Amino acid sequence: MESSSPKERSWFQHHFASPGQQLSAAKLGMWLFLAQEVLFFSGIFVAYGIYRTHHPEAFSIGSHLLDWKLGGLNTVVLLFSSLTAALAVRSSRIGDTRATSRYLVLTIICACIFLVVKYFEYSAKFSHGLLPGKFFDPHDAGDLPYHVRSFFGIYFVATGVHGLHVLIGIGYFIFLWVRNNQGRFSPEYNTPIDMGALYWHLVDLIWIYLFPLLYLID
Amino acid sequence: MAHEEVSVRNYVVVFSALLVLTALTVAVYQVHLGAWNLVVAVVIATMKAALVVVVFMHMAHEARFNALVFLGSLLFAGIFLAYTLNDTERRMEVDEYHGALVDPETGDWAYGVAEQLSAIADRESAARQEEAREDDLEALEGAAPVAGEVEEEGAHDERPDEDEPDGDDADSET
Repeated sequence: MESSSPKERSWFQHHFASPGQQLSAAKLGMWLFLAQEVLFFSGIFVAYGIYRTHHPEAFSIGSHLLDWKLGGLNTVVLLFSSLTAALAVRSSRIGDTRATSRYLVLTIICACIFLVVKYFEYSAKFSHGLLPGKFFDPHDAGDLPYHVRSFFGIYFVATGVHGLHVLIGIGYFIFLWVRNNQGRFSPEYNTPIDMGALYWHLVDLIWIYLFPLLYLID
Repeated sequence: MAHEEVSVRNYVVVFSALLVLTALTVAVYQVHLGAWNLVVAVVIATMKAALVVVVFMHMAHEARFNALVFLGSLLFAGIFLAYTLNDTERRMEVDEYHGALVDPETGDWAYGVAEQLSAIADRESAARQEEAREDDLEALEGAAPVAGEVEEEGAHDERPDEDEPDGDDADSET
């Protein structure tokens, strides 16, 4: 077969016994990285847990100052991008390079929409002085409990770090898109797309929790 | 790898289920369930997360060890949360077993007020005894060369020695 010539299998690293072993190693490394990501975000969730149990009323008020419709829109956008990422992996596995390209572009577009919506949310909060911690200076929200600033501290750190992950995801998916157009991926080798999608699903996973915890407090 | 690819239709079905669950979370938010609001929100989010992990991330076909790595991280995140809240949520509570108050600052046991006071008194009297003993030793050491000088010094030192040497200055500053 043509595909087994040395040039065609340039993706195969010589220190692995077989392509299968190379794939398993990549997968183990990726899952370890995702585990690390879960633990990284767990610090934010624990801070959220402590502050919310201590200041439930401030969290409720802070949450009502967010626009759940924009948060919900972003949830749908991110879920859809997860779908397109999964479909990109699928089409690369069956060798449909054009479909892969299309799904990668759709994923990138969704990620950009997410960040644009986030930008509008942030600028609305900034203009109302709803900033974290000591920068908290609400202009027209009336009298707010002291710890509403703690809610916004956690809101900005959680969504900011999550947004950074989205930004990194966009960069990586552009890289994947370019590589895919160069014909680097095949049913034999599509590990980078597979790993990129895993990362993207984790970013989606974090948002699945952030949305109700930040936007939908009764 | 060896397994058959999930059909596009199945992916779309899972995506639709995720949308339905999202709508459900928002609907529950409108109903006002009070304390149950958080529980329901987290349960629905976990159902969504499970769908994403099992179908989109192919956990079902993943090597067992990789699944263990990921689920292990969730377990440890849970331990992190549970143990931390078990500490911070018990501050100022009376611990029946230890007969103590949980210190609001440190989370340590703060034993009964009477016990605390007697502990402080014990510590102070011990310190006073130690000081007196040191004074005696100084007096004895000083007595050897010139008797008169030492008596003067001893009388002079008695008052300032009760506090720290700089205690008076520090008090007046604060």
